[in-house]
Amino acid sequence: MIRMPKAETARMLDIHGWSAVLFGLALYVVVLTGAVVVFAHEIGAWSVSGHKMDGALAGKIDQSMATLTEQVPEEYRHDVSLYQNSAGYLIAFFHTHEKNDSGMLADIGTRFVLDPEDFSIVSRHDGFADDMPDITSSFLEDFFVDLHVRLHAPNPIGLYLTGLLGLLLLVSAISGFIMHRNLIRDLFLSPRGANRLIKKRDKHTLAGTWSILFSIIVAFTGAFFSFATTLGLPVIAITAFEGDQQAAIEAVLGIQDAEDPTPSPFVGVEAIVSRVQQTDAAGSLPTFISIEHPGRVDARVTTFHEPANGQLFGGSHLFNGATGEYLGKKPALGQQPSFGSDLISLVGVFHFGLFAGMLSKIIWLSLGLATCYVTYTGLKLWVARREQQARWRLMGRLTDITAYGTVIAMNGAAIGFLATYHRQPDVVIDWTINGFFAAALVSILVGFIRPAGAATSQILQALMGLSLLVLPIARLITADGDWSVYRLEDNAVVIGMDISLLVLGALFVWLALKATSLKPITSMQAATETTKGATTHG
Amino acid sequence: MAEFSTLLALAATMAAFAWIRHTDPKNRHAHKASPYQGKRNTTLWWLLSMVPGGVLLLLQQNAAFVMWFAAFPLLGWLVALPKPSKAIKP
Repeated sequence: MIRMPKAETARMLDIHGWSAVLFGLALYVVVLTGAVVVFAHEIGAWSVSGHKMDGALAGKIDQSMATLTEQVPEEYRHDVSLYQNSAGYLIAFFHTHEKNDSGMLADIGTRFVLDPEDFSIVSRHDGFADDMPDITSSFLEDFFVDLHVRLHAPNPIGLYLTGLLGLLLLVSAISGFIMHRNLIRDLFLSPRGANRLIKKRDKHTLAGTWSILFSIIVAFTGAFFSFATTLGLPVIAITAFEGDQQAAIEAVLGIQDAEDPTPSPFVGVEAIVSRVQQTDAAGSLPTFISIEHPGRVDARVTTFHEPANGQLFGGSHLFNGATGEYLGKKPALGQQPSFGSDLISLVGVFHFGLFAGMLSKIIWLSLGLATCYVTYTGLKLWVARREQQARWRLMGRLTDITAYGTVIAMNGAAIGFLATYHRQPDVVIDWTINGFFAAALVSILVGFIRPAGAATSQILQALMGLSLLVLPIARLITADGDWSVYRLEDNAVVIGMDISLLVLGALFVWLALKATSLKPITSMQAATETTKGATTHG
Repeated sequence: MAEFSTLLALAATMAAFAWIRHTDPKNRHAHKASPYQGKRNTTLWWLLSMVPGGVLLLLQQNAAFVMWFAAFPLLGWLVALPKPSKAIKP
């Protein structure tokens, strides 16, 4: 409990409220999409009605890699990245590093998308990685992730934006904590129904108080990820390494071994994957493989792994690419295990929540949604206290449109993706983007055409529920196969997603219908309550 | 294993929260229930709500501990949110 003079409390309330009014809606979008993309992998697999085949990296891949290497220009054979996307396709990116048009070092090379069953080429693209077209099979998942990470703004502006929004969340959480006079006493105070304004305030305060610690953690870790490479590393390079970014990277990641271009046959991916699955190494199949200098005596292979059962951190393991010798576990930072390396890994654990399968994902999704609820109820409370003024009523509408419209727009993107992925794969990207904007437009129109009042949020809520209900139906209509097939093919995630969407959709429609049946509050009543609330609880 | 430990720890924490809420004087007063007559021992129940997390740490169940730590505020919110029923008794 922090006691402050009235004037300071009022100032703190201004900081808390106005920062939310100015940036709260953008913050809501970033937090909501962040909560959803905890399930990005599942969304990716669901959107293509199940991944094609798990464990492709453990297959007989060496012959195909050798054939692909021959098709790639000599200069692109410097490094190779290899991974399987959520749809099951294998991505092999042969590349080197060159300065792009902006003068920044970037990956340039040849990217193959391969069928995991026979390693046949599905697509091939050459050029800078950033300029290549998106991979259609993972486009829906990538679209949502990009919306969360940088709001689809170009780099580094998008990362700065989301980083600033993270800092804003930090300011809101801390200012909320400071100005709440009865933090401990009100922890178990259920929202009181005596007056609409008090109920709104109690709902916001209760959710905000309980989620304050997570808000601070997620805000800090999110801002860290946004600023670490875009701002942090260049600033460290300028201040501590006289502008030499390469020296800064070597200090952080460790000095690379001296280069030795003497030719030497590459030991092959199969030998490395087989070795790393032994219990004295990672004991699991890698999710990502990075090969440096294949075909040279200084070839190095790094395999990346998900956390083992009960562990917090995934690991990366290093191999000699010429001999296949296991060189040991590689820390996230530097060459030796360190507290700093663990700390960086912990930042990832707390931000992503991907370390313990479905349970940790469900908890992180719920925490994200709780933060969205705090943002939404906070904005609605701010507006309710001022709703006699037209501009604040407009803000109320915008809050509802953003709160429900973001979900409706994401569902619109998913419907656009589903409608075209199996039938017209050439237009998947366009339809996904158009679906997003069309659904966003519908939300805006519904939000503005409806008269002000409770009905707007209820209609948008019903629309959101309907759009959730449409998703599994659209997926079942457009894809081959049914639930029994997915179960047999180890694609239970598709069935799980279908059921979750149906249940959620039905729930929101029911809640909207239930709310509509209640007697709406007239603007006169609202105004009276606003005045009462302002005098009693301002 | 981590999932099971987490759920067990959360169930214990939830029980402690439910008791704190049941005896919470401000909540009872706000919802027009009669004051709780027995001894509350709030500090003890708060400590008990955190014991499962401590046990997970002692057992070096790090993943389970982080999940419990993250779900701790969610549980608190879920327990506190519903309006007490009229049947609330001292």
